[in-house]
Amino acid sequence: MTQMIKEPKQQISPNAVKMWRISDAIMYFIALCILLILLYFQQYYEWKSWIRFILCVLLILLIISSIVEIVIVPIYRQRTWRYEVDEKYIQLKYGGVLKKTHLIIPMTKVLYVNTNQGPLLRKYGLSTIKIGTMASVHEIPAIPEKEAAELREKIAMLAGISESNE
Amino acid sequence: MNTGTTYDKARRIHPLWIVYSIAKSIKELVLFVITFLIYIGSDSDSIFLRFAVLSGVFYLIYKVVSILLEWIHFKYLFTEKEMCIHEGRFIKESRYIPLERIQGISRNTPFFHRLFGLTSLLLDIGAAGNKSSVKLEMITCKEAERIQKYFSHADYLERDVNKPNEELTLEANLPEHFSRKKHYEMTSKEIFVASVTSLSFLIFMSLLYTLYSNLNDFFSIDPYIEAVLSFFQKSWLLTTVGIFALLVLSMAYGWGRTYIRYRNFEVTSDQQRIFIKKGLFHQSEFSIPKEKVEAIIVNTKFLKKMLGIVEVKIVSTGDGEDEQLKTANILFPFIDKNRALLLISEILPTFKVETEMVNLPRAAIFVKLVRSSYIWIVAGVIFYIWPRLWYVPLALLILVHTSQLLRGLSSGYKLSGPFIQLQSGSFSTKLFITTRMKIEELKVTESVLQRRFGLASLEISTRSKSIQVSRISDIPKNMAIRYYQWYAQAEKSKEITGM
Repeated sequence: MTQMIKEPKQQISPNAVKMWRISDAIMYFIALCILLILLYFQQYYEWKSWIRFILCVLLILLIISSIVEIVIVPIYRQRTWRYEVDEKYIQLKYGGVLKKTHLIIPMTKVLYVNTNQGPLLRKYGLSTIKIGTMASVHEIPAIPEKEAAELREKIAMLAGISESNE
Repeated sequence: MNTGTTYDKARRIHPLWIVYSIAKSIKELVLFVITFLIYIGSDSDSIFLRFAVLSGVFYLIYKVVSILLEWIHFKYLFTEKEMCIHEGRFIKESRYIPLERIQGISRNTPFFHRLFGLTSLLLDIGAAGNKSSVKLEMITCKEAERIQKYFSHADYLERDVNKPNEELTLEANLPEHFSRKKHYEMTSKEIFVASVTSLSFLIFMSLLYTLYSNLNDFFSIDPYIEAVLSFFQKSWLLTTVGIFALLVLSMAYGWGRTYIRYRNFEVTSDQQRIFIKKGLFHQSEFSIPKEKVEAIIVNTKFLKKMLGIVEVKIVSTGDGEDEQLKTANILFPFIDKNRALLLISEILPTFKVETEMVNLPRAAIFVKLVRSSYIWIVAGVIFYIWPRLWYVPLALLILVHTSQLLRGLSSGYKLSGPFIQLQSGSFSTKLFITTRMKIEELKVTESVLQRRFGLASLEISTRSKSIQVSRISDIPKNMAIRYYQWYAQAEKSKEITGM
């Protein structure tokens, strides 16, 4: 199995790791709060004891998964994400050890492309690119703002040109 | 050449439509009133009843007015490039639809329409939402033919414009363009085989049951049923006769159903379009430009597998929710497999079907079995909780593993030139055929388990009303890579050929 699909060249911003860590931390914090509130209710209103058991199991799972998701996953995701855009097609690649996905979209099939930015992304000067085709919407997460805007224009132009050629 | 495109003025549908629609809403109202009366009972007080009658009358007046307005406002017009629809009841609305957007045309002639020499056309625009089709209900047959002819002419012109260098060859084929070639006509024998294998016997039983429960609401028919049942239970001879009679009846019912639906089933085509015609009382004709065919699906149902009978479907962008269209794009409802493959390449020369497919490697079957082994946990849990139901987990295990085994054995793939063929399924199988040009995107995935055995999964998306995703799991990895490169290559060579 030496033959491989050629990996797309471009990588996403290393800042993505920090950004993902913060957003995941916020998510987990909210989830943790909800669980703790439920636990408190269980105690206060004297719900059945099996509810307490389930809540405790959930709490442990949450803590384990939060450690994995906050510490390891962002690095892994950032390292494995690759994309490449040329005149004819967009190639995306993500995942590695557990499940590796290669995706190819011809320029002619791209319907729209846009960039968007949440508050967290803005803090790190990053943008997400969304590429819509008939089939689905694909995201390239966390690209530096300027690069993202350029890429968006590039895709729009290439897709537009091929559209009118057809 | 320009004889077909006449610039005509906007037309309305036949005035009989008003009568038809009003009759339809009266029928609805009557049905509603009947159920209403049954549930409320006639002994309710008179003020309430008067109110109900009054609201019924108002509803009817509203309906009549809106139907009249709808008829007055509905106009359609065909120009060289687009189709205009003016419509609306209280708010007028105009729609302009470019001709090349229109996918399939289906012509339906219900029995009632036929009595008056009318028919209805459903034009399918490959758009999302509820405005995905335009219905010209109740137009004269002559008008329908005019529109159909107009469309075949429009495709012809469109092609002409797009590929000016092909003009010469098209010119030469002009007589052929208007002459249709018949490819397939359903025989009575095929209808018989189809009715036997379609399990219509079960439908008949459920029909009997609904009839019984409906009647039971109004009359007490239980004593009669019991009398009949006890008569047949008198001796085993009578019982056999009864069962036999039931079987014959259900077979006859199934046969009649299939016969009414598929009598006169015929597939013809000309240079640009495919035409599918069917029906005994309710006749319908569906036509679609050949270029709009995105893919072909060959379905093999479990029972029909042994007889080698398949169902062939056309996938187009307009696979709408509309029931009429859904059944319309069945190219062959039941046909011998080899004949189907032959006919597909005859009707759609742009599609080539290979009969020889590459099967999955043996490792793939093993991977599938491993992947489905989670079922042991489920089975174990069931067995642990209800030990007396030991046969349920056992059956579950056998079912899941045989289906995975069959899936591994019956999956296959083939790549030849611009064509891609994927076959998947376990008890029933599905063969998906499309070309490189029609694929919207291609995805190759590889999981940990697959990596160990050098396998990968392939997913291609093609257009249809909702996107059609075809997936084949556990093909050899280098094959997946070849598919990926094949698709990437297509986009490069596109430039060279000047598409």
